Amino acid sequence: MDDGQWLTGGIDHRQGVERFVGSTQLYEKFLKEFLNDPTYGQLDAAMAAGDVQAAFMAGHTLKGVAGNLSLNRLYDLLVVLVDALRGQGDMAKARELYPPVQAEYESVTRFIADSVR
Amino acid sequence: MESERQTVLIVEDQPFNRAILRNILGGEYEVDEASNGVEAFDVLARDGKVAAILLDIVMPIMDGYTFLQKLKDSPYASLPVIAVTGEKDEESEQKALNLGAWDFVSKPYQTNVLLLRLKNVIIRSQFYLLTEMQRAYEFDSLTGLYNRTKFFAETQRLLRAHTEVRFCMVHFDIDHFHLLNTFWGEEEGNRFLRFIADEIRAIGDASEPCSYARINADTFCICLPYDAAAIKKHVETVVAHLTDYNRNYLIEPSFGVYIITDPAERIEAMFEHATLAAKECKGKYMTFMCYYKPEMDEKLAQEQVIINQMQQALDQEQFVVYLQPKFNLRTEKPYGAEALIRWQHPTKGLLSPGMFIPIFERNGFIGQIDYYMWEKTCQLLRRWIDQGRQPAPISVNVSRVNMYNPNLISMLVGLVKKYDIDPALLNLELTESAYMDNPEIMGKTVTALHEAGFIVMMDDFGSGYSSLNTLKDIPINVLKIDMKFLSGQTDEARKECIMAAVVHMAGWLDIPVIMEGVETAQQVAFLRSIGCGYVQGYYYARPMPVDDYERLVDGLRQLPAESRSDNHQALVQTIWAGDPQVELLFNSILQPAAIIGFENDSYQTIRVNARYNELFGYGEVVSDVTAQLDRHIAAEDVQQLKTTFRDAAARHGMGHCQYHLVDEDGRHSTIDMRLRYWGANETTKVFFALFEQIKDERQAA
Repeated sequence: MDDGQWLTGGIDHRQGVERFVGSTQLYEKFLKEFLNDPTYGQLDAAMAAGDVQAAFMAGHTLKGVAGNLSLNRLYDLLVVLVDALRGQGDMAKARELYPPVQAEYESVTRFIADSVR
Repeated sequence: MESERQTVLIVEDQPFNRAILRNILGGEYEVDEASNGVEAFDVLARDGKVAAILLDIVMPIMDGYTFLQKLKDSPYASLPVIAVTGEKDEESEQKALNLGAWDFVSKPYQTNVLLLRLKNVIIRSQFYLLTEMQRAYEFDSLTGLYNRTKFFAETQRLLRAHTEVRFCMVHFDIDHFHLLNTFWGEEEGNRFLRFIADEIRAIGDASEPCSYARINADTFCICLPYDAAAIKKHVETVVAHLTDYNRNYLIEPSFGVYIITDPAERIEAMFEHATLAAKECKGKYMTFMCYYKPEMDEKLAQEQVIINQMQQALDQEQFVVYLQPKFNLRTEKPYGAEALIRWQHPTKGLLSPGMFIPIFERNGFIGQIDYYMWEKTCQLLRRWIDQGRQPAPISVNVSRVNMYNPNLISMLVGLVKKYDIDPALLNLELTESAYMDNPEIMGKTVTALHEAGFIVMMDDFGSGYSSLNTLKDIPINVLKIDMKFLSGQTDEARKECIMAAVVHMAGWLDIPVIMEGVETAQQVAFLRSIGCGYVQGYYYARPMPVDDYERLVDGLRQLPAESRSDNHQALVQTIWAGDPQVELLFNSILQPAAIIGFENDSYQTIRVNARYNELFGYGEVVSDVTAQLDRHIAAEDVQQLKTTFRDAAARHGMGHCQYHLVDEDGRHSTIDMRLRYWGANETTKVFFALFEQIKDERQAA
């Protein structure tokens, strides 16, 4: 698969490999690991519970991971969500911003599952 | 060979991120991990090889900022930290840097940037460490000045960079610093050293280009452009500051200056020259600075040779006794001698004491030398007695070291017993400067020596600082005065006056005087005239080998100078001891009276009573009666007066005459004087005189 194809899946593969000291193997290994990462589940639960703090912490963490894995579409969406949850937080606004996050998460994780051996 | 991999500590709570970082860094570094600040400190305690820390700023338990703060106060404060901040989080970046982070990287990780920054920060930290260590290796921790190594290197650079300038090396230290340090204690001693460092710095600041350092203890060194006047000024300034520093102590510096003529010379050698020059100042009164002369090195080398050879020389009896006879000035015949040391060196020939005695005095070897000389002299005396001669006493020197030796008496008594000779034959010459250290002990020692039967001479009388006190407190038998102490620019009259006075004083104390260093007939004549009894000097005889001495005195009867004192003790008692009855009598006589001394055809009043002062005016008690203050004895009467004295002296009887006093206006008064001979000491005939004014033209007017 070429970079362009990865990009359509929401992943900047080239950037990711670069980050992982040029090792495609290492990068893709971590992509696969991401599928087991519990952070999204934490975010989901916090949003459901309306817990601004918890949602913020989870969102922030997930954002970091997404960024490090160059899941840039998911990352950008999380940036906005996390911003809304910062400080006092605006749960209403966050709720509005959340569905795209959910969608993208589903999408990119499926893409990874399909693309990475 | 690969260099060892360094270790980086990752402090990150997210396992995922930790894993990423571990993998990113693992290619180049060994990786330690901690999920929070507390764990991080544990790791640091365990692993001493951590070279850098990668720190996530946002963490639970102990957040990044807290960790940074705690790190600053920990033993790991010098470790470099890279803070990992959220993206576009300038606030965090600032805060992290303020708390001591060396750099920051943001998430998502930019691997190449991260690796570069890590490498940079590690190199910077190593450099910093190196600088710290170097600082310790180059600088003196107490004063902050360069240390010895750094100084020599810097000085080398200085000389190379300024080939057109003539530099000099100045060694500075404080005399007897170890003593001051003992008195003051370490803290105060250190404070003083810092004070000195400031003085040195001040000189340095005023003397660019230059370098300076603390070499060790109280030794400092400055290399600065040579300017004699400027150096002198600096020395004076430092001396003044030291005087003010602590007025309870005598703090004296020694500056040794070595002018650098060959910049290619070893720096250490330059410093050694300066040090040698500084040594020259020590022990010299009011001398704080000395310039190096090449002779000093020579001198040092020679000294070392002598020290290496001295013990063997003693064992092999290379030291020999030379004798310089003393002469009875009145009979002009020898009476005894002084034993003087010479070194019959196997290769250097006959060495005079000036070449080795000072060295032996410095290192204490003089003690053994003394004893050797005493024993040799005793052996001589014994041999002469056995040969049927009747030897006159020989005097030997007792060095300062032995004068304070508690075994001195037993050593000497042991020797005279061993050779079975009368202690009075082995005269002891003690030097005056030794008395100054502890007059009390000296007094006891001299008394003990008397009791053991020895005669004690004070050598070099007048050369020290406490002559009067010494004479007062210590019961010596004979004074030896060196004519040379009176040499120099002093005018002759002054010298002669002092010598005469000293001989007089000795006369009253009934102490014979031996004048040393007498070289001319003129000196001899003068000495005879003031009543000196003995003379030792080149005029009569040089120090000579024992054989020559034996030939000189062979068959001679050696006699001491006869005492010319007559009624001396009674005189002393009466005139000087202030017997109250005598005082009363003398002062209540209704007539003017005086005690007059007559010698060498001139007279001096020794004491007068109140009526005398009323008649003739007040003046010094001891004044030449030829000038009875504002009136002079008429010229034509002077001879007559002298004749009266002379005749009375010859007859040990009475004299009577009249003479005229003339005042400045030419008016006469007539004085009637009656004399009575009273006694004599070594130098002077003493008379008692009564006066009466018969006619006074002044009243008529």
